[in-house]
Formats: sequence, C-alpha cells, structure tokens
Amino acid sequence: MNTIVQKKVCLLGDFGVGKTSLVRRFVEDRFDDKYLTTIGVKISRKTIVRSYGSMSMLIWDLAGSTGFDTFTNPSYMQGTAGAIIVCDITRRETLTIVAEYARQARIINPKIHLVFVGNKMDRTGERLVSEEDLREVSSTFGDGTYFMSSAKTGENVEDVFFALAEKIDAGA
Amino acid sequence: MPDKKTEFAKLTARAAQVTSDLYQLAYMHVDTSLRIVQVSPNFPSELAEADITGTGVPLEDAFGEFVGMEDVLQSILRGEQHHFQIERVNRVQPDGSIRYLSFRIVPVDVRKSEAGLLVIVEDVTRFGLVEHSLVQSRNEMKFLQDALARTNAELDQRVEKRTAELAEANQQIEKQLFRMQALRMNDLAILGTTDLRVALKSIAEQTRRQLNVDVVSILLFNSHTLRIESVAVTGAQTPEIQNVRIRLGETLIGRAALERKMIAIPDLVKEPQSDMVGRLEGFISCFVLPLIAKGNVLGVMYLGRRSVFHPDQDWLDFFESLAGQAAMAIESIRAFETLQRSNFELALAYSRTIEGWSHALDLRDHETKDHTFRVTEVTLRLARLAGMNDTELMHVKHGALLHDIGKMGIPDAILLKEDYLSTDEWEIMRRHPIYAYEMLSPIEYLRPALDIPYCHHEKWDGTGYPRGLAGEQIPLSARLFAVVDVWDALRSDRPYRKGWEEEKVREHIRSQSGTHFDPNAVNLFLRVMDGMDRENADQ
Repeated sequence: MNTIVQKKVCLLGDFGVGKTSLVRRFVEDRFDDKYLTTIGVKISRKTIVRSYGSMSMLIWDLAGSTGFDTFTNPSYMQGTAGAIIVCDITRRETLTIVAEYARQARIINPKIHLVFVGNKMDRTGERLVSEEDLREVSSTFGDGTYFMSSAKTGENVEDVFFALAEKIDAGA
Repeated sequence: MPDKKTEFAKLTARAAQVTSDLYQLAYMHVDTSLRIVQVSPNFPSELAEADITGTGVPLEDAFGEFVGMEDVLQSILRGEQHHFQIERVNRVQPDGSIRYLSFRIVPVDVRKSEAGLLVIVEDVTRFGLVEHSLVQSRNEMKFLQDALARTNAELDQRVEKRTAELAEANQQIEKQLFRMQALRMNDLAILGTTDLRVALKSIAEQTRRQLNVDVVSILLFNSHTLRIESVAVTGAQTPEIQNVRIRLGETLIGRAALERKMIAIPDLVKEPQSDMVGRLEGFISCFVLPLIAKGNVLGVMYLGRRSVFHPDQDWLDFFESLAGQAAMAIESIRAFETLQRSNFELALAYSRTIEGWSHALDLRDHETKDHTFRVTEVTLRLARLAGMNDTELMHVKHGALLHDIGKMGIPDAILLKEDYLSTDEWEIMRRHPIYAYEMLSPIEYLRPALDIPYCHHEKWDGTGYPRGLAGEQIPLSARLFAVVDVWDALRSDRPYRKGWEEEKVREHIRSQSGTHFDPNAVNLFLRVMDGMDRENADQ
C-alpha cells in the first residue's frame, strides 16, 4: 500500500525572480507574464507520485525580498524539509542574494535540503548569470544540485521539484 | 473545584465575546494530540481543507499551514515556547481574489498544558491588500530602476565604446595625416632639388621618423660595378655603413635586390641572417625593400632596429609607400640629369653650328680677320653692362655671330664688288636684314637672337633700314650692336680706304650719338672701351 507523506518545502529568492511562476508552472502548468508580487506566503499543495511512494508537497512560496526583510521572520521556515533557492539569470544581483538565503536557511535548519535554480533561461540574450556561476554557488552552499529553468517554457521545472523530493526522501 | 468543562465553557464564552467584538477574529481549540476539538461560531469553515464541523480532525489535515509544525506545537504545549505565529498566509478565493490570514497559536492555559492550544485566525486582508499594493508598486519601481540602470549602463558602455572608436579613428586620421605630411615633405624634397643624394637623405630621415626605426640606409645599384652602394644613411652609429658595397644576391640587401621582394626579419637572434649593415650597427630586426621603377631595380631601402620588432600591415604598407617615393625620386632626378645633359649637349651643338656659320659668312664676305669674333665679344660686354641676364646674353651672342647671315642672300657680284654700288645694287644690299629674318625666324631656337641680324642697321633717328625704326622701337641688343659694328668697320682697312685711328672712330661715334646711335648705347660703349684700354695697359 502506498503511503503519502506530507513535506513542507519553501521557495526563496529575491523579488521578481519567478518563484510564484515556478510554483504555478509546477502545480497548475500555467504561466502568466504579468508580474504580481507575493505578500507573506502562498501555500500550494502538489502530490508527487513515484513508484516507491507519493509525496504531498506543501510548497511555501515566500515573498521575495529586497534586503532580506521577509527572511528575518524565521517562522515561515519552521518545519521545512527543503528549499528551492531561485535567482534570475538576467539580474546578476539576485545571485548574490541566493548565497545569503542559503546561509540563513542553514542557520535555521542545518539539515535542510537545498536545490539552486537559475530561472528565466528562455531569455538567452540577456543572460548575466552563467551556469558556471550557479554551479559554484550550489557547490559552496549546497551539495552542488542546481538547475537552469524557465517557468515560461516549463523547461526543467518538474526536475527541480522532483530533485528536491528525492533529496528529502534520501535524507528522511 | 470547577471541572475542566466548566472552565473551558467560560473561556469559550469569553473568546466568543472578544471575537464578536473584533469581528475578524476566529479561533479553534486544539487538544494535546493536535486534533481540533472545537471552533468558534464565527469560524470560516471554508478555510479548512477538511470538514471540521465535527471534532477530532488532525490540525494539519485541515490546515496545510501546520504540516511539519508538530515540533513547534509540542514545544508550546510543553511551555517551552509561549506562542507561534504565521503571518499573511495567502488564500485564493473562488473568485480569484486573495484573502490574507494570520495564525497565532497560544496555549489555552499556560499553567495547564493538557488544556491544549488555541489557534486564533485573523483575517488581515484589508492590511494585506494595502501592503500588496505598496510592495507591488515598490517592486515595479525597482524593476524600472533596474531596467533604467541597465539601459544607462548599456548607453554608457556604448558611449564609452563609441568614444574609444572615435579616439582610435582620430588617432588613425592623425597618423594618416602625419604620414601624408611625410610623403608631402618627400615630394617637396624631390621637387626642391636635383641632387639625388640630398633628396634621398631627406627621404631617409622622414622614413626613420615615420617608421620609428634606428637606421635608414638607401643603396643604389651601380651598373658598372654591379654592386649596390650606399648613397644616403641616417641614424647610423658607425662610419663604415656609409661605404657599404654589396654584390647582387649577397647578404639580405643583395638578396632583396636580386629577388625583387621585401625581406623582413623581426628577430635576427632567432633567425640569424647574413646582414653586413645589421652586423655593423648591431640590429636585432631589419627590413629590406627593393626600389623598383619601370620594372628596373634601382637599389634598396634598408631599415634597422636595435630591438625585436613585429610590424603590422599598416607599417609595412607605409614602408612600401616611402620606398616607392624613393624609387620615384631616383627615377625622376636621373631623368632630369639626363635631360639636362642632353640640353647642354644640344646647346653646345647649336653654338658650334652658329660659330661655323659665322665663320663661313666671314670667309664669303672677305670680312677682316676676326671681325665677327671681335664685335661679338664687345657687344657682349656692352650687354652685360646694360644688365642683361645669361639667357639674354646667349641670344645676343648668337645674334652677333649671325648678324650678317642675311648677306647669304646677296649675290657675290654685289657683295664682293670693290667699286661703289649702284642705287639698284644698294637697294639689294639693304635687303640683307630681311633675308636674315626670313632665314632665322623659322628656327625656334634662334628666333630670340633675330634682333641683331634684323635690326642692326636701324638708326636712332629713324633713318635706318629695313623698317626705319626709331629710338626704343629698335631692340636694345641691336642698338648696342650697331655701335660696335660701326666701330669695328671704321677701324678696319677696306679696299677703298685705310682703317681709322681709334680716337677718330670714337669721336665719330660720339658725334653720331642721338642720330645714328642710341646715346645710352654710346655711353656704355665708351665705358667699355675705357675698360678695354685699361686692360690692355695692364697687359
């Protein structure tokens, strides 16, 4: 008999990097170009079905920050099994903030599983963050798991969430 | 002692009062096993993911917000933590609008952990929407600022790039201008001199400055010795370089000339070559270009540096331009020299021919010995004293030598007649200046010399022939010659009379001043005579 485990995961990153779009693409398979900021937290649920068991993922899409103001409230991170830390590859400054998010997440939960994502890979002509940059950050602050993704085209979006689920499974 | 139920009922009633007063607050009671026990009457049941009208529903099943929160909730139950709060949880309504909720978890009774937890739910949509609006504006503003900053940076970059391009273009223009000036300087040097060494020296100096080399040497091919010989050198430290002579095909210089192509050695240390000039001057790099004009190798231009040098195409092209100019200079100055030599030879040939004609005329005319020679010499003295230049003097000389060439048209019976001429004969004789004109005017070279043969029988008062010219209508050279011709004729013996004494002749000439002769010409003549007298006295 398949048992469904419930796991809380968080999406972190600077404002406008596409966290909400990634969740929407993953949960609803939709995309909207219009930018709508998130206040507080938006919680979505998606059940991942694998041959060896299903996982009901409670996805906390946290408000992006400018200067980590949201991130100073650690209550959102309580009980989080993993986090997806997102940057926008067309805005170099969002990569710097990725490192800060990873550092703070580890302070709250030293065992947290992290996956790093460089979003908006469809905007090839505007790229300011290279795959090498992301690889370096993911190796420094995580176990080197990273993805280049596009919420717009859906490229690699499922892989991001499945990779995190696998890490959580493996670490459970 | 009140029982648990009574106590909880009181608490519930108090909570109901508070919630109804504040309207937006609702609550639920959760027991120690984290199951919902009771909800307030105003609790919006649509917020729960499970049916909570009954009791005993696990909190995390009804509210996803509490998944993974067991540790936190247990900690509050144990009194280790006083409360926990989850703020501004977004809930999307069926109409698409967002409802913002805050969950505050506190113990029901801090003294009795078994009483469970109170989860107070507050609808903060009003504040959430205001905050959303503010943050949305702030973030959009930030996006705009970032985009603006990126555009500005891009523009700055473009401006910087364009500025750099313009600076480079300016540099190129200045360089080209500088080079054009150098070429112009070379042109002027070539045009300004007929001395090949001077022109090549100037080109060598320009080349050294423009191409930033230590030494420039221009060597010319000597077709007699079959060697290439140094002609112009600049920047050299050793005197030997001035006397370099190299066979065709030998060393870099001889090879460049023989193979008719540039030889460039940027690093002689890495690529040792037989290079006499380089060895003398200690060059590390050298460049040799043959000087070719109209298919002929005239020589070579040699550039040497005392350091490694890898030139770009631009440098090599300019080297070729300068070498081309040097070749042109050599070609044009040599052509000029040849032309000058030919002109000189031609002038000499003309002069000899004229002297030959003159001598022939004297012989035919039975003129006294050296008459033409004498009158020519004295007329030249007068002309020089009158201020004539070298070219004018040459024409005066030719005119004097040929002054009686028109007599070739006079029959011997008249010309050689020892008796007085009849009126008709005299008429014929007076035509000889016209014959001179007819004979000489078609010869361009002698046309400027016509004044004397055509006009030496004109008189100042207009009574002369053939045209009866008067005063300054008569060309100066003819006015001067007329005096000298009469002077020599009167001094000479004739079949019909003896030659006059010198003083008598001069007196006669003085007496004819203003009638036969130009007074100025007479004055000049007398000054010349005085001069000649002094010369004779000195001898």
